[in-house]
Amino acid sequence: MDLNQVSQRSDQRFASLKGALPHEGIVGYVGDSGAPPGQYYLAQYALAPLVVEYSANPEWVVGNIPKNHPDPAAIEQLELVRDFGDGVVLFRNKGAR
Amino acid sequence: MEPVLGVALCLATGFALAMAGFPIATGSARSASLPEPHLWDYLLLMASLSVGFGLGVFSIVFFLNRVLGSKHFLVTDVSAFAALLGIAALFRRRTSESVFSLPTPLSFKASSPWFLRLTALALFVSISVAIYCVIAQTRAHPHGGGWDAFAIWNLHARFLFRGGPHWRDGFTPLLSWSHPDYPLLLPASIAHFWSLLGTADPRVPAVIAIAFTFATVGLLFATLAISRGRISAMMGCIALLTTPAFVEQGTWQYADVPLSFFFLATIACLHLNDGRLLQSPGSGSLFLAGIASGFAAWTKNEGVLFLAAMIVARQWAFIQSSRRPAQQKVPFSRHSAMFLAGCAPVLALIIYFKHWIAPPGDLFSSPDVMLLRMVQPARLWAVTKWFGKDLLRFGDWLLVPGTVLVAIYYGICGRRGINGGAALGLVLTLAGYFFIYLITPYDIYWHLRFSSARLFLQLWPSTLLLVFLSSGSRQQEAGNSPTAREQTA
Repeated sequence: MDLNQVSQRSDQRFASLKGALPHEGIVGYVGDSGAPPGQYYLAQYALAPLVVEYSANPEWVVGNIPKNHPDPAAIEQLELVRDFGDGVVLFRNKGAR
Repeated sequence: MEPVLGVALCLATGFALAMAGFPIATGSARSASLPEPHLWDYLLLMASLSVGFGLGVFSIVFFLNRVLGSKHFLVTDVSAFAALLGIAALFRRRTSESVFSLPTPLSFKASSPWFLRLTALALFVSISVAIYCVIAQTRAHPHGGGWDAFAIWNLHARFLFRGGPHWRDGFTPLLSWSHPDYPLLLPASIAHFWSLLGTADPRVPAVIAIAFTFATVGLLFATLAISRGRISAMMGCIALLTTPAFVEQGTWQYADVPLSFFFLATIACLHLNDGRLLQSPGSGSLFLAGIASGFAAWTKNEGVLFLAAMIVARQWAFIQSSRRPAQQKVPFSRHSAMFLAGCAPVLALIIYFKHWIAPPGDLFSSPDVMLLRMVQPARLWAVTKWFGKDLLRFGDWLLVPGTVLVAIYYGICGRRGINGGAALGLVLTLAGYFFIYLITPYDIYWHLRFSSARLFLQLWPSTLLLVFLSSGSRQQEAGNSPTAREQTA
């Protein structure tokens, strides 16, 4: 798929999630196992000015799992908060301070 | 209304700054110093410079607003415009006796009419094809032509625009893949217009990219037309416009074409200053050259390298000039001072950004490791080989590499020596690029594959300027001599 279409679609996919996230700060990220890093870059682009850290350590964690194959180890500590559809989910890290 | 006013202010601010370097003569002096064909070349020069300088100033205004926590962009825009108008007036007064005097233009009748028509037709076709390609590319890829557009430049713009008081969050080591240490001319100018619009409209980075592309072409044309006549100007622009990679990357929303604009602007201002040096040493154009090189450093890290290279090259040029007769000697301290005065404010801003906001860059490691990488023959050979190949293919030419054609042209038509100082500056910049590849912490082939061609492209418009400045008929040379200019002025 064309990079522009992907970028545009990424903005649309994450639009509804943005309302459920804090307005600033750092959120975590988990993706499909083996997904290319470009998916993460696009999520960061869509969610700026939030900083999207590629880890499940922060309290709020964005799930970008269109194939529904997240790394089991990565979501072990996570609690599903809401599924926004199209592979976009919001987790909460139970162990985060 | 604000966006339209913003565009007008941006261009007016750039124009005011350009006026500091090239004040136009008025009244009776105008007719003497600006022959009619050159009036259009002069206006094109000013218009082209206005685009780059205006966006450069706008980026700084936005950045300072963010640092100071102000949201009154229009007020600061108007203040910046007024301040630059004042500076332009100051230079205008200081140089009232030495207005920008232009060489006698080469009469079109001096060239074969058929050659002139053919060249004009070729330029018309080149511009038309370039415009078509730019529109088609932008419509097909409104968000830019590759990853760097939104993983680096537009992402930084979003942080600056959407971040509000938390705009610094984007410049964190957590996002090292987005190169948060990269300077902000492009992101901050995009964010400035987004702020005026009130939304992150993707058309803004697209329009800025196109503006830089055609401003580069315009600047090349104007500088050559003023210096060597319109035949050389047309040929130089044809060479640039028929470089497919230049036109294509002009729509990618990367920072390489804007950087090439500021490289070209620096060398053009220095050249135009040097051209009138013997008659009436002015200093506004040196000030502008300093600003342009500062803006280059504010556009991309390679610009810092270019700035350093130009300073070294100018020193070399001064040493060379000391061997000339006394009346041709360059007033060293004054020239250096004006150039440095131009780039110092921007450099101070870059130092502030790099030291207090951005995390460290990713290219430099410990001296031991860098030294070890530098002396590895395999790395040296890899970069040499890659540079050799990219020298012939960076422009994505179809049949014959443009570099070969330009070299042949220089061999046949190059009647003057190439401007040694400027050429040395470009060679030193290229040598700097070579060095960076040697010490890169990344896989060397990966790094070369994804950036080397773009680095060559950054230097291409300036190289074309130097090559086509070195050409020109003997009549043009005669028209450009100090004696002829004395008659003109």
